Amino acid sequence: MRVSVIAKYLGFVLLFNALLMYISAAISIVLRETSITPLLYSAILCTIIGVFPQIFVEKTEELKPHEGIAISVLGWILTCIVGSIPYFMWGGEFTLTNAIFESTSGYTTTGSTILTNIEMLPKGLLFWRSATHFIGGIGIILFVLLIFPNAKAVQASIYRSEVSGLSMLNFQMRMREIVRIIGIVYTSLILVETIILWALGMTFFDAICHSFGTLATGGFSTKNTSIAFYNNIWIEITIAFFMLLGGMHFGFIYATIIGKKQNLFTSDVVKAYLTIIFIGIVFITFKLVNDHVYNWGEAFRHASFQVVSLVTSTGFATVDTSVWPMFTTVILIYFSIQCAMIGSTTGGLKFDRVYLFFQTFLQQIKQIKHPNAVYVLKMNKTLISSEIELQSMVYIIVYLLILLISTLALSAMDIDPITSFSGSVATLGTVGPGFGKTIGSMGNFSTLPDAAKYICSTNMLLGRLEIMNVIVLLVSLTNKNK
Amino acid sequence: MLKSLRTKIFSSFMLLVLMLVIAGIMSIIEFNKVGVSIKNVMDDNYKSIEQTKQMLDALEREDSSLLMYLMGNREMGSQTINTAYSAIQDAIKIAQNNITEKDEDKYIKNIIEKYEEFHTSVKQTTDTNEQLTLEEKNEIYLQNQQLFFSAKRTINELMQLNQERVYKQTNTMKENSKRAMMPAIVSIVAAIVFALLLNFFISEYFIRPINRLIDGVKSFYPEKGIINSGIKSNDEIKRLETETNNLIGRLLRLKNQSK
Repeated sequence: MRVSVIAKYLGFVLLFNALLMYISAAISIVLRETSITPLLYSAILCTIIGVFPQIFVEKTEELKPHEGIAISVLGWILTCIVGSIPYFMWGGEFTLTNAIFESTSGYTTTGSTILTNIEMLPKGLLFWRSATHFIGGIGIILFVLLIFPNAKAVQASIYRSEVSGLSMLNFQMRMREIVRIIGIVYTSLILVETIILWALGMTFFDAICHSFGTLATGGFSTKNTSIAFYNNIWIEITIAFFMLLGGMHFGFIYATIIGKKQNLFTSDVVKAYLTIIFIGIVFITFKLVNDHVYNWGEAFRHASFQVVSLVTSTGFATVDTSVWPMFTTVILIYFSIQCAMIGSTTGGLKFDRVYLFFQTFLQQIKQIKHPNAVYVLKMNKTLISSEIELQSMVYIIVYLLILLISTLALSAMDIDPITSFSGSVATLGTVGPGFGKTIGSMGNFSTLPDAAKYICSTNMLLGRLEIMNVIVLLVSLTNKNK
Repeated sequence: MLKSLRTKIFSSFMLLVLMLVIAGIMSIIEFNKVGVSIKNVMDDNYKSIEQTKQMLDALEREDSSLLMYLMGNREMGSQTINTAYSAIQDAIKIAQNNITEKDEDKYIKNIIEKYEEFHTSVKQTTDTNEQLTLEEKNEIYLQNQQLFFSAKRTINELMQLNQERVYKQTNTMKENSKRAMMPAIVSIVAAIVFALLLNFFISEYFIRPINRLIDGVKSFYPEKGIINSGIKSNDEIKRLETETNNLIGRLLRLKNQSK
């Protein structure tokens, strides 16, 4: 592994982070806030350390696959660390652990917070907090591919380590084109949502921050009570709609816009995904009405928002779900594990894998009934290779295994079972809020012990990097000579 | 991409210097903010607190002078009342010229109003030359006491306003001083990372190529013709390799000519 080449690309990652830090610092400078020094100095630091490897390392024409993985994994880890510097320097509720937690939560688009009073943060820092969602949404590495001119072979290697095989399957385009489409769809949707939210009465600042949080399926709000603060049904509908879009395959969104045949309306997976969401909303609505929590209208309104928010791994809230009946909590936990579609900004297992799992399951039943028959697996009319099928099954098993280990580790710190389990689900799935009184939709992670915060931060990173890349990197680092 | 090794190393050190200089400047700016906060507290709030204390002291004196007057020491009482009055007026004037908090002018206006009520009542008592019975004295004193407490409360409110501000400013100063240290702390960590990286790059782009060149020279034999140490960079070391090969070429040619 060529460390110098990896350092060069990590330098690009730092330079991109610095760009957003300068914008946040500019906001602080205009508003004469206390976050000028933390943001400006962090930006300068990122620039200097980012430029440093460029002085020594010459342009590379190709990357080995494990170098691509190293750039991807280390890029994310480095990003989370440097992203915590403005928080740590600003102080307040941000200890080193809290700063790292908040930064990781932002970049991985989890949206969990340690802040008890979000509204007291300076605007520059609030913008930085939301900007980490924006960067993390489509992935810092993809942003770097989009912006910095690199050799095609290098781009391809990094791209393969960042985008899963199943996701590539649905794009059916060249790598450069895919990266461009992701960029266009992502930024256009953010722009449109910002304008709508602004028109609906949010301030421009809040509108842009919430748009970052929505399309990145992050969930950081500028208000203590999240979307409940606005108590505006039109704002809720808009955010729910864009959360749904943020959870859909960007390739399909683009195909729908340009009028391609294979689009959101013709995709079997999208249909199944929306059906599952609808069933979930109906069940929760019935239960909420049956238990006299809300009337029909209110129940449907809150159930829809919360289901969409959790299934897309966003984590915005309009109500405190910790007071909802256990049945609804179980459904919401399922959605927090499943999450939305591959090729989007969402986390969790991803619906495509769950869909593939059930397809495989049905195929196995058929195979047992007709042992000599030959069955093929298809998704959106595309043949699924046994390699992708196996990858998906292994991913599901490893994901659930890590969930179990994380829950056990949190319980070992005397954290109650609901908080341990839902905290693990929420962070590994990059959903954001868990369940129960501590880390529920209106709670935060501030009271958890520091060690638990580090476990949750690791979960977020593992969830965002889709686990396997981290394992591959660890294996190639430990088995250097094999 | 910089080509010369000299430029590369010089640029690296310049970046390190730049990072430390900026950290220094930012720390100075933040410490300056702490200084400004202290100055603000001293100039604005502490001055106001001092004046409210003067007002309270004068008000107490005026109240006890009234008692002195009622007890029969009329001349001394009247004199002290007048002194207390001018002391309060002076303190109010200073406070009026030192309005730094939101609504502080309203608080001062309130003080003026309540004090005037008290002082007018005291003056009315002292201006009458009639001999008063014990009951009348008691009644007058009780009446004035209410006005006295009312005036005292308004002064205390102004004092509280400024004290709260001092508390807030102290907290801000605490935060600012912590913030002022942060660039230095972060710089120390960054400088360590930077030093490690620099060490790596110097070893990778300076020491290793030299070692390769040494190995190439060591393993050289005339039949080989040239030294190929596999240096890919385009810097001084590459030039050294090229010049060494040129020298070898020239020496070989000389050797062949002399045969």
